[in-house]
Amino acid sequence: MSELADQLRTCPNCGQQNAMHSLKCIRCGEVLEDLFVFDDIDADGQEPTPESISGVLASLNENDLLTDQTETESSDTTESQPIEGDEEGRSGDASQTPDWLERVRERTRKEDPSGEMVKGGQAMDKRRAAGERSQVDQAFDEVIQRIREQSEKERKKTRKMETNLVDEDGVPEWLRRIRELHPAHEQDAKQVLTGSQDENFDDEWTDEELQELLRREIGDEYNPGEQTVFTNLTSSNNPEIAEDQSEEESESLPKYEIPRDFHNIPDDDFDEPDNTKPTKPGNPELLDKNEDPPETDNEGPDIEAEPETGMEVQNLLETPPDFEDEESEQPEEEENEEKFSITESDQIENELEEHADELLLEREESEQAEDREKKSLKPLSTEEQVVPDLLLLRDQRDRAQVLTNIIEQEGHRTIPVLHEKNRQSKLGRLILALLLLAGVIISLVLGPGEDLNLPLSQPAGALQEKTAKLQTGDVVLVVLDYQAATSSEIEELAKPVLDALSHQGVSLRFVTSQPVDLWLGEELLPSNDTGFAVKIEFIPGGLLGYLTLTAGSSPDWGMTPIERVVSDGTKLLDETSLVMIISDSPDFVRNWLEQISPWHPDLPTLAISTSLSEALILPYFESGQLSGFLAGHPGGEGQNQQANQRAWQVGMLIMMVVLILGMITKAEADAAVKDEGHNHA
Amino acid sequence: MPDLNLLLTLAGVVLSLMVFSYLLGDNLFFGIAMYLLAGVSAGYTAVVLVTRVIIPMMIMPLADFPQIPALLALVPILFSILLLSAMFTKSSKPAGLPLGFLAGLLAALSIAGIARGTLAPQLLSIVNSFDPQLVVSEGLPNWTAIFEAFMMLLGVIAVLFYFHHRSKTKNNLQSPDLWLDGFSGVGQVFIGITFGAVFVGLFGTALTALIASLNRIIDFVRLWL
Amino acid sequence: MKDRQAVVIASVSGILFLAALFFQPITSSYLNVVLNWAIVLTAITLLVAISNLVITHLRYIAVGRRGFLFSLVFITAFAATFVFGILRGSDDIQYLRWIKAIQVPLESALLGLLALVMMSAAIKIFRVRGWSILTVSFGLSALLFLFLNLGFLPIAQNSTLFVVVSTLQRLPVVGARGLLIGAALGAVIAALRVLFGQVVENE
Repeated sequence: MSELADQLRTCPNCGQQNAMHSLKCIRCGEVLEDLFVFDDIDADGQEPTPESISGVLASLNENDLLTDQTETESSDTTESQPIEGDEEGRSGDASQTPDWLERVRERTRKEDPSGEMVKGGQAMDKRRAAGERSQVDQAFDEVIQRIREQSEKERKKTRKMETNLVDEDGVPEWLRRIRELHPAHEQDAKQVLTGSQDENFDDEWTDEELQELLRREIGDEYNPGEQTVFTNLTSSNNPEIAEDQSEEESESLPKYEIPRDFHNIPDDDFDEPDNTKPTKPGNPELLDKNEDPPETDNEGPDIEAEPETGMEVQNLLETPPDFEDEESEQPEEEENEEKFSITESDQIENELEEHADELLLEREESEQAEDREKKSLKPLSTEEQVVPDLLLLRDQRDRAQVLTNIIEQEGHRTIPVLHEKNRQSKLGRLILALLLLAGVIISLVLGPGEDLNLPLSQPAGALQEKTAKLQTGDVVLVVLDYQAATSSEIEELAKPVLDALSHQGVSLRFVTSQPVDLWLGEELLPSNDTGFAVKIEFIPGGLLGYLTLTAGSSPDWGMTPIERVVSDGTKLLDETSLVMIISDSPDFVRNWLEQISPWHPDLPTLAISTSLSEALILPYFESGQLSGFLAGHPGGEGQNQQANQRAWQVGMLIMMVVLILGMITKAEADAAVKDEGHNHA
Repeated sequence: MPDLNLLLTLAGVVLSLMVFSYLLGDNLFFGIAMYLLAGVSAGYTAVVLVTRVIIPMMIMPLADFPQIPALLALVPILFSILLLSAMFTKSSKPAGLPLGFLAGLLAALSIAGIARGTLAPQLLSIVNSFDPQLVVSEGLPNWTAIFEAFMMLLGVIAVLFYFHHRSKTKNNLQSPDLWLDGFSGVGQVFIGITFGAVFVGLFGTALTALIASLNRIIDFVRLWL
Repeated sequence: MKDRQAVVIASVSGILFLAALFFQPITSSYLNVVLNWAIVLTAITLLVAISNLVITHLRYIAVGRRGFLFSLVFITAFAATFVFGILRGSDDIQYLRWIKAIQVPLESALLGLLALVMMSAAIKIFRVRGWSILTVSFGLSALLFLFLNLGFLPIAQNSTLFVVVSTLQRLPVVGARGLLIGAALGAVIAALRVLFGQVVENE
């Protein structure tokens, strides 16, 4: 415990002791300081700037206490003046310096007025402190420098990754960023979807979607008919758009060229690339297994207008003046611009007019197909990947997959319950139980069999011998301590013995400390010829009650409470010739022999118990503490067996068979394992 | 009342069947039967404790106030208040006094009782089995008695050694030597024999109870047939 | 240890009581008084335990915890038994008949169920524990005593067989004695630790 006490942390808010690994106080919920604190990162996770660290050091330097102490150190080098001056200074600062410091200084002055002792130490301390301070500063700076370098490297890496990147599915980086910035436009983009709505196509941006995106970006200024910019997106670099587009339509549709320096990609945030937003149109859970791996070619894809479904490739990107201005403000985006080539310009206007109606129809079809698509959504499987247009690292992808699996399996038991038994074992247990039940029921129905041919055991013989020696007028204390569950067995064993004693003229006194025996024990009460009903007396406190009546004596100042409850309680064992314990528990017999019997060593004790207790009570008989006992089947003549002997024998036989079966099955299993081992060898 | 007897017998049969339904798996009926048993047992125990212990031994002595029995009766009342207060407070400190008193008392009783009632007699019994009056009969050694005495001594030591050796090998404090394993094996034999006897005894008790329960059900069915 | 009060009280009361036991003729009155206190305290402790049980089940019903139906059954049975027992007295014949009609069949059936469960345990024991000296001796001993309990052997007629069977029936004494002595030593050590104040605390 002392070890654990050393590992507790105190909450700064309420003072509650918490475990070392706790993040929050268990009492007030205050967030405890981090277990691992990096020297160069503050609690907010922000990197501390060198300025802030210097500021901290400066503030330490400006600390009154330290300043005061420094002044004191410097002033103590001289013998008298500093003291006086210091005192004056201190008096001015008395309100600020704490009392303990004052006392220390006074004592120092008294013990070492010359200050020589302190002088050297102070000088050393000063030098050391200064040195340490500079060392600390240096260490801080180095650490910060290292962290900065590392973060720069990481930034460069991610930038490189991002600049060259076309997604595994062939989605260009600029497109991904568009989707990230305009997730709301995905809904609109869905409406643009037409044509084939199979899984392959659903994961791809169509030209119309792109067009729609562009329109939103540019606004009303966009007019496809007036634009002369075309794009030529080749399928090799942008398969998701080009794959599903037929060549015929590509020939018929205008091709647009996107200016070299045009882009509508917002500024990159290289520090925190957002790869978590699904930007696909349609259901982001849909996966495309057939997407080609991304190409790392810096040149942008040439988008060919090849809609399979007759979609037109309209002006995807334009170069409005606004965009150009924005573009000039984003020099970094130039690295990510795709290059598009203009193929035909004059055909655009004409073909647009021709296909305007077709577009409307296609939009409607796309909406309907989208609805159908939603119904046929496939859930994520372990083999499928998360949305491919998200730029995810592998571990992020794995984690997302795990999360998806967990969500899917919500409500289903996936982890096997440890204690759950399989069906086979339940069935086996049921069969065995039914076997025993059938055997016992059949034997009960057939009727009771003959008496068991059991000899009188030595302890039973001793009990019989002891009880036979009792004479009329002797008092036997019958101590009852059994439960309703074993009443059938106990009563069968005890009733004949008690009846025999009663016939001998022996006086029986029944006592119990078990509440249930007050009514259970009535079955054992012998019929009294004198007409006096024999009562069962309740001894409170269990064995403590018996011990009180045995070991304690009645005080002179009055009756103790137990004497009020038990009449003649203190003479419980004094006037007794023999004690007969009727108990179903070997522990009660043992406790009686340990606690009560030693106070009356000459008083013989007999016991009547269940067959469970036989083996455990036998040592006490062997040692002479018990004069005799009766447990289980008594055997011998004259012992009435009201239990159905046949049912008893059937039960014992079935248990024997089951035990032998268990041994045989185990031997067979071992033999099978051995044979398997030989075969493998 | 024969009707009440029949009703009570029917109740007994139904309750027995509810308990046996556990063979089909843990179910509602078995749960109801168990909680019914727990409720009735707890209720009856509480009634007996209140009417036969608390009132006569704790409350009624106060009637003799201010005599010594009444004053002495205040002590268990104080203990009881402390014990009951632990139920209503989060801290278990108040209950420490009465429970500590009880624990100390029971510990002292255990030491005295076990030493006098088990350890000494059992060890003496082992030693007394080598009594010359037992091992020698008519001037000749009684080999049976000698053999039994040695077997008893060896067996008890082997059983005690088995538990000691078992805990050592579990903690890997000692490398098992062959002779230690052999001696421990002898202890295991005797323990196995005792466990086998206890197992049969327990099964015998349970079988008797099963026969009694089934008898009750069969008698009830016969009554209706 | 945060609170040594209970440990100190246990230690002091135990040592005093042990001394009183040893000087019993002189201290028998003290023993009587202290044991009376212990009896009342034990009864109160038991009542507190029963109250805790009742309160717990009442809480389950109030909260609507899963399985509160069983708690309802418990509370109903407890309340009916307690109230009728207080009103009519614990000696009332009708009251005791109802108690008997419920407890005896339930407890007997429960113990009978144990016999059925022991059947499946018997068949599994070797599969689970494997072959070892302990399991083999256990199995053989159980078979022997089961066979002896069948009563098929004419033991009463054959004195040699009687001697052999008697000797076999005394075999468990060795193991039982060893177990008793071992358990007794452990209990004495635990009690001495309480008296010396060396109580093991679990955090």
